[in-house]
Amino acid sequence: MHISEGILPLTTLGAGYAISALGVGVGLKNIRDDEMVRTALLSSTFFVASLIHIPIGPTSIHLVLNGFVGLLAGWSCFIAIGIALLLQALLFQFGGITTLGINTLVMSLPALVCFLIFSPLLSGKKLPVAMTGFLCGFTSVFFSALLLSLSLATAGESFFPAARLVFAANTPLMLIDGLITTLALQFIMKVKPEMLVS
Amino acid sequence: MLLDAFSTGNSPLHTLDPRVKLLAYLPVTILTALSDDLRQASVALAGGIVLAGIAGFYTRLLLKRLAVVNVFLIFLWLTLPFSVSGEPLWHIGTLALSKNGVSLCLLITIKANAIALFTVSLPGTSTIASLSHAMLHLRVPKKLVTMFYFFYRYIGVIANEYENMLRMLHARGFRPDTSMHTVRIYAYFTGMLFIKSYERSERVYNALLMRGFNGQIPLLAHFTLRRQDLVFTWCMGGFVLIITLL
Repeated sequence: MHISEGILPLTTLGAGYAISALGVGVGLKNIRDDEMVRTALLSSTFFVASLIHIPIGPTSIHLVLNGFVGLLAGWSCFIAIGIALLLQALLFQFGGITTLGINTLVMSLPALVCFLIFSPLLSGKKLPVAMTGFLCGFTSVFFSALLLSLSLATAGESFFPAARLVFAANTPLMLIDGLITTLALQFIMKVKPEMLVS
Repeated sequence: MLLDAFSTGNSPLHTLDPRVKLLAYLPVTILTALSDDLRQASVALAGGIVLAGIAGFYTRLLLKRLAVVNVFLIFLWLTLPFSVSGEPLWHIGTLALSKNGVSLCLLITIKANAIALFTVSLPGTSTIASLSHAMLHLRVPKKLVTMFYFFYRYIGVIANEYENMLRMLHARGFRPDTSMHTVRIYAYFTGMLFIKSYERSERVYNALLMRGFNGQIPLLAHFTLRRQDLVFTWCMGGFVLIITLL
């Protein structure tokens, strides 16, 4: 999920940077040295995990996992996702440096919201792990696709069809990410629950 | 996993001070991204082509990278020509391709390609290590740069882990297909990858702590501005001026 360079107006790009900077700032404020290392490696894993392609018929789809990263990184999720997108912008030329703020916002805000909603549910055992996982994976991609479409729509009325198309194209991903998050979360709860319950 | 494929070389751009490259990169990119004039965008693209030429990047790898950039624009080419109102250029059944829509698509495509070329030839010609160092000089928070550096450093390690685990799966006869079995295997695979990185982060932190880590990495090498850096800055300044005046 990326917005290319050269589409969005200055106000959207600026707002993206402002909110993302705030998110990163909050994350940096109280981070301990060991959390710095942990978040950095979490981000590397997030980056590598996007290499995993799930085959769907003749095509395949790659994982986003931003809700999952939200659960693991908590308040540092803006940093974890932002540095991965910065590297992508510098090395692979998709996304880009002017859209870094808005792209970070699109991925990280849903991750943070998922952390705030689902992490208490998980540690309080109020919902079955499977359901928490699915909701977390599904809603994070849902809200990211929604934010992406909304920010595309700020470029003008003529971008509305493109915005709708982008949202529709991401629906299979919501289901796949939901499923993967469910199972991966169950696996982690069994093998290393201290990674999640903080 | 070769990440900074464009950073090795000995062109004039590769030897420039990364601080200067970042400082030149930001204004030209922002200016290009926000332009809504086809002439400005074309001049920017021409500049990008020249820069990529100076860096010696006229290769198949560059075309591949640009292809990726353009794949993301397909969504726009599929919708914008029909949704922008204006003088019709072509009729397909009941749909009309509008002239304004096509020129808007063209404008965005030119801008995206120009910026991609700036990116490979300016920050792309420096290693991530020296870009991180340059970011410190540009007042990016120290902790953030340190984390960015660690993140970059461990991508290769985690990617190795990923490849080993994948080889193990294949050796045991796993063949991905469209099934719940595949989804389950990949989910456990993902979970394991995150667990391994968590455990590794503890070992890395302990090793760092033992060596006196206090949240930042001490720097040994320092940048010095040379004449070619200043000449390059003037050239890029002139380029920015030309785009603005158009």
